[in-house]
Amino acid sequence: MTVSGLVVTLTRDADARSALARLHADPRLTLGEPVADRLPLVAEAPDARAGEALVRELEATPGVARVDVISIDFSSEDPDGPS
Amino acid sequence: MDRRDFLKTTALAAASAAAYRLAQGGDSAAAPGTRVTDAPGGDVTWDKAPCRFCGTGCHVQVGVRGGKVVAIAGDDKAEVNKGLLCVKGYHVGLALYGKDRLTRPLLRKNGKLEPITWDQALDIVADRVMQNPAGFAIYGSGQWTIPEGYAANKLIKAGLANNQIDPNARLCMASAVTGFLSTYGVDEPAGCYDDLDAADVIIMWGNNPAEMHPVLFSRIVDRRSRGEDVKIIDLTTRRTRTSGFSQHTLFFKPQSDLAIANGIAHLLVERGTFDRAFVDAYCNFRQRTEPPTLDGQAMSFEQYKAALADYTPEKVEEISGVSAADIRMLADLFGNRDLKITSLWCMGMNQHTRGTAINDLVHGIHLLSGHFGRPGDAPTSLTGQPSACGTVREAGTLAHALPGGFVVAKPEHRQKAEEIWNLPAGRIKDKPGYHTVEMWRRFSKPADQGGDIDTIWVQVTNPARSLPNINELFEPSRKLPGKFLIVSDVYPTATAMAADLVLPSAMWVEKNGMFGNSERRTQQWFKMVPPPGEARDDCWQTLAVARRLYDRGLPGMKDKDGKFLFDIKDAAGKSVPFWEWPRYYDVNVDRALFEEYRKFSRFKHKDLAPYDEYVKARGLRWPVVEQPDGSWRETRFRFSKHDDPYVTKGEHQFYHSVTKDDRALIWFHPYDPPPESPDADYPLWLCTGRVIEHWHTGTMTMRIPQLQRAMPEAYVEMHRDDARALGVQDGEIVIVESRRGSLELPVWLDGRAEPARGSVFVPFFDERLAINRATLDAHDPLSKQPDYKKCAVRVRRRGKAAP
Ligand code: SF4
Repeated sequence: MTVSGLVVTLTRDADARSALARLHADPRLTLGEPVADRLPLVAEAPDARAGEALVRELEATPGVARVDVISIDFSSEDPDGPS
Repeated sequence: MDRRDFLKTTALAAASAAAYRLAQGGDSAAAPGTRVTDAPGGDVTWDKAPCRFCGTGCHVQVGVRGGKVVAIAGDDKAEVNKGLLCVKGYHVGLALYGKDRLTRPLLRKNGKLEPITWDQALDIVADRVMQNPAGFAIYGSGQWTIPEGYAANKLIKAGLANNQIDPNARLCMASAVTGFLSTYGVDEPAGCYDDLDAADVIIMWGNNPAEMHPVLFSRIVDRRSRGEDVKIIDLTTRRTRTSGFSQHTLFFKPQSDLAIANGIAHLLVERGTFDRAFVDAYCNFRQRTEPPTLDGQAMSFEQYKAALADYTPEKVEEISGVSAADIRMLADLFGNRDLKITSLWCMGMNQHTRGTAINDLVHGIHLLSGHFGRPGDAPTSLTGQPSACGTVREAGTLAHALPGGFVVAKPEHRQKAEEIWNLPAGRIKDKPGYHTVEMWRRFSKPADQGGDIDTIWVQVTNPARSLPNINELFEPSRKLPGKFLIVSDVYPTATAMAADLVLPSAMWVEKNGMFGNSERRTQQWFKMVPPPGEARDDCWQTLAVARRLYDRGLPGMKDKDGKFLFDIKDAAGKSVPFWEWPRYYDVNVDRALFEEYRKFSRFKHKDLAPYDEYVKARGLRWPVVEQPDGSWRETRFRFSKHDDPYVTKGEHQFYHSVTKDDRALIWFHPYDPPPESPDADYPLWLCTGRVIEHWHTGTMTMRIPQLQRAMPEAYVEMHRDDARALGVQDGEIVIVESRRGSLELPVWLDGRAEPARGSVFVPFFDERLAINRATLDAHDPLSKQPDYKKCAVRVRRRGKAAP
């Protein structure tokens, strides 16, 4: 399980409202208090790969202008980099 | 609270602080809610450290549990990044945990690297020094911590007294140094990152900060998303991610940045839109001499004007490919004093055979137009490495330098250094050691052919991949008898695997450290986790060798009172035997070395605060000056009365002026063609560089699974029309070759960036695909920095013979 802190920047158009509803409904996400068009949230994923895919999915969501990753936890990760 | 809840609380705290900062543009430390490090419960302890990677110098919070780094968060107290990190930064903790860390000293025996003890390893290094002290060199790095670089510098300049030390930063920012020296008489930017928050116009001179300094770039782009009017101008030879955010992307032909700068200056002078009052009060004019020097030759304003006369917009368009209308647009901006303009540059201007000249010219445009010294008005170079400024430029680890901006060539500087180091008069030699290209050239030649360097000790860098023209500068020594390569590193890099002796090192938060970032900010951190196996601090390695040399009676290891050169005492005033590894952390060696080094910092007004001030801060920008109440104040804008305490007359005072009259120099340098250009045999330009996911030669980031997966291998980026003309498909493996070497690479079309027609780009992060087999070692005559950004290559399909 990986836990990441993200900030999602919403677009300034009608898509932002539907994006917000979608993010609220996603069980992998815990939303914080929005500050203007910036929405802090926590994303949980079974492993790092799924975490990366989740960020890409958020980036592709209509109404999302940008995703900044703020923190990651990798305590349960077994590094498998090439040697 | 269980562990999962704890992780969620801390992650949400970090994200909330960052959201506040992004939305308000202010200090996220003021954000409501819990700070990541204050989150209740959990078994993770947090401490600050600067990021290990680039010269931006972001601070991270490092979460440690059970002797292991388990979490990373952006540090919301850090002014540089205000809680944000880039993709590399938030994975930085994983750089420690590649599965092939070096954990034992290794000696090459019968062609194979075999484990030996530290005792044996230190003896071997000491033997090499004793055998030929004059031929022993250290090749260091802008990734050295400040105390590591300072200790190595003192060992070589005060101990071996041969000045044979140079860092890899010679390859990345030496031209910025010579540009600052020739313009202001003293190194490093006058401005700082605060300029990015105040500028109306930001001009990128051949750099791509969206990928190379992403947190700085997002600081600019965030202003725009908050509704501020910031114009970004991208002067570039290829379309990059930065281009995508720019209002103007102006493509220029390689090397022609000099003509563009002259074209802007020409129009400012011709139209009378330059800042006459600023120039009259604070500037002199200068032209180059043959051979070139940092002082040059005086010229009058009329001579300057005449020299620029050729650089009409139309002529500049012909040389550079940038339209005359765009040259006029740039001159209009500089001619408008109501705007605030910041220029940024990095390797594009520095890795240049006319690197000093183009640095001078960009400073010159700012001085000529008076866009200098107000917040937002600044010519600012960025560095690629985390401590290129702190360890190389400030601690003076270049072959000609001494700490604090001193140079070996000046008797008064040597004398002062001898005083601080308590050396007998005359110990420090006046002749600079070899610059990087020369050091490796001499290591690559037999002794009877001028190869007078026989041992190089490499610390914290990977010259087997980062030197230019490696077929000539790195590989020959590996087959030459009598040459001995020692490498201290954390992973089996290409250099380590080619070495005769490998010393396993501690990295980042496995040791105490200090870095100095691109904006004169000195940063400090403490050891948080133990290094693996027998890996040990680089600084300890240097000091332990020094002690062995002292024990063997090498005269240079004693000061003038006969004491060991590196005598460090505990609180009770007793010398600590820190060269014995178990005793190394009995005393804070970093603090002791830094307090000694700090004595050098006042002479050139680069004042550093006591070590303990940096423990409390997220870095401080020098000069850091003590206030009447005992506090320490940093300086954001040098040479300007509104912020620099050393300005005592006028609004601006260049108090280290080359001309000794408190004035900066505006230089004229003509455009000269590059040393190698495409021709019938090698018809394409080659440019090399980095990508956002990887850092330097990828020895750390390629071991971080997330980064490796995101960008798994190097490639050659081509223009679609060039690929079509060669009959090459996207993804096809092709041969890229220059007059110096060749390699096979997959083609990437319509990728992240787009090179101009007639040019290709290859990143250098992939150790397996070494593009520096092809690059040129031609270098700037003053800075000695090679040009990695332009040489001639051809691309051919596999199986198809070269023409
Ligand atoms: S911008 Fe540079 S210093 Fe900042 S997090 Fe990224 S790599 Fe680290």
